[in-house]
Amino acid sequence: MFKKKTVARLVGFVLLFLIAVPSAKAQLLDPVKWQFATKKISDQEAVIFIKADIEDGWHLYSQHVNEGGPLPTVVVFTTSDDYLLQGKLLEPKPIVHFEEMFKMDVAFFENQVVFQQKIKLHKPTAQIKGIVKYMVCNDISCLQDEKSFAVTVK
Amino acid sequence: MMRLTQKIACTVLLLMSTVLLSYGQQTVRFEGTVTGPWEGYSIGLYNNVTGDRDSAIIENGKFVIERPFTIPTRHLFYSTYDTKVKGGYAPFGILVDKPGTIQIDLDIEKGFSESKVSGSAPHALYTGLMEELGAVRDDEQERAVRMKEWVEKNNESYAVVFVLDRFGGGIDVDTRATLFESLPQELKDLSEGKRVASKIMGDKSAAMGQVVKNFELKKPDDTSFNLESLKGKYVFIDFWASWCGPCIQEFPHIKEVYEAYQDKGFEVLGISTDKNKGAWLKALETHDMPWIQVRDNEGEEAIALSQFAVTVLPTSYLIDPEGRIIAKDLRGDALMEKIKEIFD
Repeated sequence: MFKKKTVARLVGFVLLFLIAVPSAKAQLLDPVKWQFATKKISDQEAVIFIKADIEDGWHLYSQHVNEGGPLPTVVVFTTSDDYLLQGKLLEPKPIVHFEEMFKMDVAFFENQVVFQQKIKLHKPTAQIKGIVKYMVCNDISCLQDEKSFAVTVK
Repeated sequence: MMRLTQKIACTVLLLMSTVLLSYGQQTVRFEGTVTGPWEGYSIGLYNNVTGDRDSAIIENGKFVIERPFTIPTRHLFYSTYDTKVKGGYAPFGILVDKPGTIQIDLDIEKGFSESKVSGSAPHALYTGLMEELGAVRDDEQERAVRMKEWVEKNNESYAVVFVLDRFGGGIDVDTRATLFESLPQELKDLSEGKRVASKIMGDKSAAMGQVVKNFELKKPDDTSFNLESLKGKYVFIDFWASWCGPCIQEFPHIKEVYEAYQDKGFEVLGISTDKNKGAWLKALETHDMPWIQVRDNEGEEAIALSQFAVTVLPTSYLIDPEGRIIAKDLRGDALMEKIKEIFD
């Protein structure tokens, strides 16, 4: 499905994140670092990348978790005349474990995950805003948080 | 006579230019020098707090972005080289606390994170601290010590309130309060300062020895529960949620203590932070918790935030018959040990 060039770009994208941000791990508990980026793939199409760096031992949950267990990650995009969402927010294949406490399968990510949303542009330049609502757990605790973002496609 | 007119004219001109100059200085001007393959790329600035948004094309290896100065803040930068060649960008922040000119030396291939920024005092301080903290990355205590010393040395700078807001949670609450108190009022009044102050309040009211103020929350049958009604008992307050696995793992431990001591003056209060009432009720059915259950308010009304410093779940407090906090986060067998110590 992915063309070679796209893959190469994606690799570049991930590499960029690895080098770009000086670590500032001073906060007591902030196990997920979010980063947002955009990539134009044609005159009228772009992809929004939503990347989470997850500290060792913590789980960030998939968008697809059944009720009665951990809360799924939810991304809400602010609607705008400048663009239209195309399809669903894509996520890589999560790790799935049966969790005894919830008596159900739970899908989550470790270390790092990049969500991708394809959009159709109605203007050459568009600003995309939204919010990620998420929770993370490790073996001893959980926390719930949200992160707003605004990115520009040019 | 002529001389005098000239003198007056000169004075007037001088005054006018001073006025004009000071008007001219109500902006923050970013002057960039760019090396590397910059042709055809531009630099963007944005700020989600102030709403600033601007960009400039790089010409002859230079760019200029000028923004009105409103409040001390952090502007974020990126280059279209990042978005087009590297496929994405991580915004680079520059702290700004007054009008003036800030120089940026940028190698467009290496990106902003490797750039040199001069002309902003708070930015220089912040960068210095981050380097220092980076060197002791894995030592949480040492980081807190270094941060404290840094704050004491620089407590007039906007960088300090920015850092306390972002990373200050690692410093114990009393020290943090003293540090915050030493800041000038104009820093305290910034939104960063207000956040620091409210976190200090929450952390303090949930400190050991503090008496928990009365609060009222709803039980599953929608009747009210008042903390006051438990006066005279030792109360274990357990913050949990239906979606929190580690919370559920604690229930058997709590139950063991509850069954052994509930008729001796010990009570358990479960406060769920579930936003979804249905999920809360279902979890109460699924898990065997024969003690008092209530659900917290949402948003700023949440007891978890205003009266307790709950940032993770589970979080628990043990309060004595006068409502004073005598222990925190007793997990696993620790609760049983503590209660034995009190009653046996």
